[in-house]
Amino acid sequence: MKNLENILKGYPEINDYVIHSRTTKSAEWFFIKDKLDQSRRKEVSYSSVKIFVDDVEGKTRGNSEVLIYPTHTTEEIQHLIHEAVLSAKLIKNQIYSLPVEKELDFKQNVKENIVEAGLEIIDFIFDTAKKAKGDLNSFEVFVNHNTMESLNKNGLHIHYSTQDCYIEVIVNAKTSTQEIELYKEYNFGSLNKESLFNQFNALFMEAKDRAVALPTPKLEKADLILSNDNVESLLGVYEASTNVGSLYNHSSNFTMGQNLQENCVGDKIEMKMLSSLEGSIYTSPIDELGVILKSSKVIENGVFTKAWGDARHSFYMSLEPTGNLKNVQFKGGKKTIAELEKEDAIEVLDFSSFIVDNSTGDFSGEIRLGYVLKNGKKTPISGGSISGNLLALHQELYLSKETQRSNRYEGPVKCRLNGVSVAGLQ
Amino acid sequence: MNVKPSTYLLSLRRDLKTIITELSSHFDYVSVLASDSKGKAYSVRTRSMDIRDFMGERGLVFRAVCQGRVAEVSLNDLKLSVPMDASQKVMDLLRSQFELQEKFDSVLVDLSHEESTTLDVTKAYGTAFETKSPEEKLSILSEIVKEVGSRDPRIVNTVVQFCEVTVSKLFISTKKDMLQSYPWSQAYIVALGNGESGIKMCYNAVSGMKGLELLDELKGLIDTAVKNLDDTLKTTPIVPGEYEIICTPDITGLIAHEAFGHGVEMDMFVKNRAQAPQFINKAVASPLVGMHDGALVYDQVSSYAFDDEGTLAHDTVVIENGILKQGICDALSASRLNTVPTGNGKRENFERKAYTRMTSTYFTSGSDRLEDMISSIKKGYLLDGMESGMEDPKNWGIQCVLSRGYEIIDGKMTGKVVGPIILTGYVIDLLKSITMVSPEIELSGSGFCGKGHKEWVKTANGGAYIKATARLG
Repeated sequence: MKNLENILKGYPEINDYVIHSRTTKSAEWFFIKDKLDQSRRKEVSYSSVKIFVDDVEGKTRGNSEVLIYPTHTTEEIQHLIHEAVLSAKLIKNQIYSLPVEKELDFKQNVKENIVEAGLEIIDFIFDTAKKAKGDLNSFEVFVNHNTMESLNKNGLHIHYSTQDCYIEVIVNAKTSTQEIELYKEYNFGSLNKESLFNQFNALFMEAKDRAVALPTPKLEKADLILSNDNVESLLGVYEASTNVGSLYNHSSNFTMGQNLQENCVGDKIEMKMLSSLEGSIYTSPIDELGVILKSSKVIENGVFTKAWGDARHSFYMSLEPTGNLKNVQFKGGKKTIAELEKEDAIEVLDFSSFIVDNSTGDFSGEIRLGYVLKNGKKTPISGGSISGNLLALHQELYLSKETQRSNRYEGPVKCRLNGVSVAGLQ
Repeated sequence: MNVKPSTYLLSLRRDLKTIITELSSHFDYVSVLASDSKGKAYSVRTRSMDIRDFMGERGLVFRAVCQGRVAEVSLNDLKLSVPMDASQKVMDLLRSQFELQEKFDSVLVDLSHEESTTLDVTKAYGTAFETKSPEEKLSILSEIVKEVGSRDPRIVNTVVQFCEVTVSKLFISTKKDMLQSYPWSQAYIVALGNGESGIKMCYNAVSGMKGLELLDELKGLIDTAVKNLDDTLKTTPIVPGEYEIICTPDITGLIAHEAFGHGVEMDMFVKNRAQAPQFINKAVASPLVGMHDGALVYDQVSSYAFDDEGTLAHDTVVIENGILKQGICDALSASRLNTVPTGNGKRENFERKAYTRMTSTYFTSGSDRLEDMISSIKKGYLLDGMESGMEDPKNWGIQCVLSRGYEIIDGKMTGKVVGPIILTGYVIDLLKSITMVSPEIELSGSGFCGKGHKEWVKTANGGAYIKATARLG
């Protein structure tokens, strides 16, 4: 990294630079049923160099980014940096400045135990499947240990390390006439066995329900209940639409100060963007531009009070930058899950893929497993699709009182939207 | 003009052969894939621009088989100056895995029947990426942004991006020594407009195994981008139901990819995650339907001479006259299924595992005219504007999200546009409902394909206009 910095110091025209270096060691396992497909190990290092160059009049600022590999020779690095400086000079974006931040008290050193951690997770998965009497089709486990180093032109220099895990699981269930599967992925910074056990257990139960599910009825319109990661995806519209970059580039339908839920009869959104969250894989104290992250309240009582995001777009909007925050927290609503599920509705637990357009609020998905809730009875359904627009429906959005923490998200476990389109089968 | 092979890879070749020879005395099979790919993305928006690295990689992935078990090591800092030290490091990382693997049973493979191949391939582009400076490329993109923005006062932002990639890969095993270098590029215009129902956007793209000639194609996309945004801003929600549909080649390609492509990836057969094995040599589509996949078929973004496991590229006939003939396969799955690989073993990059993946996937052409398709529809939609898709090979479900449906009533376009639309259904029902196919085939490869929700690789998809029946919501 010092070598890179010395090369950058040879260019007086560079106004700012940020270097992020990462070394990742990983252990990976791929299973088919209870047999190993293959295992993998990885050891890779990268340095990302961001360069900022202002024009002589101080009216425009250009930036470029180049990735340096450990096998690049000094001559190659010099050439790549030279090209990056030339590229930055070509870019004529409106002038902005990065905060001058030199001091940061951040220490995090996680001991590397990727192999042991991976084997523990594998045992845990087999054990959970056995206890739940579930049919495990296949799964993949990735454990990464990352050693990070970042510095900027102002002298900010930090070192830290992290360990994270990714699991992909496919489970089956069958009846006398068909076999079905469900797919789930889990990403976490620290293993919470109790929470993961409950999630796996629920997955096996859901698979059994899908195997006996009836075709989704033709309803045209219904109230919709979503849960877990689909709630996170849906509420992602509020994250994206309050980001300074979206506002500056006109890809948001929101304006700062707007009462987003003026005629609200449901729950009003309360949203914070956070610099850290327990269990999240996003633990860096700084963002890609080297800006120290600061948690921020963004939506209060349904009113968009403060945009969040990177230093550049914050500067354009005359806002104190929060940095490019990765973790989010939504406050729970007034009703419990039991209350949300009391009235008739379609509840969808699993989609083929839940698609949400963060600009428009449009959402849709094919139902892999859902339930018709009618007169207190819960009937599993599959097939067909739901679609709607959050911004058109969020005056009557209900959030569960119960909240959960899952990787980068803390917020309601379930939500309910009224008047969603349903393309049913029968 | 042909692309230049990576000097870095050429410099490694001899040392890697030495290492493979050394390792092969300890394992039943050993190979290495070395990658050195470079790419840049040039982006201009109404109010900003940038240049960044795109799809570059430089590193090595070693694969070894020992008593039928498989282990891999991905490295990007292996010092080859002393090949025996490098060999020892790789051997240690492989051996430690094989020791751990003894805790588990394995699904065994046999790769000893590899055919000997020596190959050096470089592909050509029309106009080399280096023939225009970054400044000239940004200038062309800026002109397009200005032009699009000047066409409609509702346009609040235009994003134009051109991406150029030069891929270089070297594959060495005891029996193979192959080097390939090829270019690909993609470009898009995204127009954002503020209409009566708020901000909406429209995505228009071109791609190919091409050089800077793609910039001319991009300029030709301006009228389409402006019209498509105008149509998108007019969209109203669709009434859910089953309709007669006509798919543009883009949507036909999306259906080919999601409906059938993922369902015939044969690593899914090994895991019993697909219905396709029960339908080999059976009717799965209308007799009008033919489908191919292969890196040899078209010069697109996933066309190559050999895959990431060193298997030569194929042209695989998947469906012929509506009959499912065979799937596509990576090397490990082929061994496990006692068949031959089809050149579809692809990695996101050298850091990732190889899976069975699509390359260029398309429906073959027919003889029906688009006008006749439209006039044959009582009530339905012409579907356009690919957004996303998702597969479900185990249950042969399909999900495609599209931005626009142009209403057709009594054989005439009414001018009404609905959207966004989600197309769902049972794959075989959808493919058997195809009653008309047009003669002209178009492929595009501007998106990325995931395996589940990860392992993003480039693929191209396409076909002709088709008429079918589908559930829309």
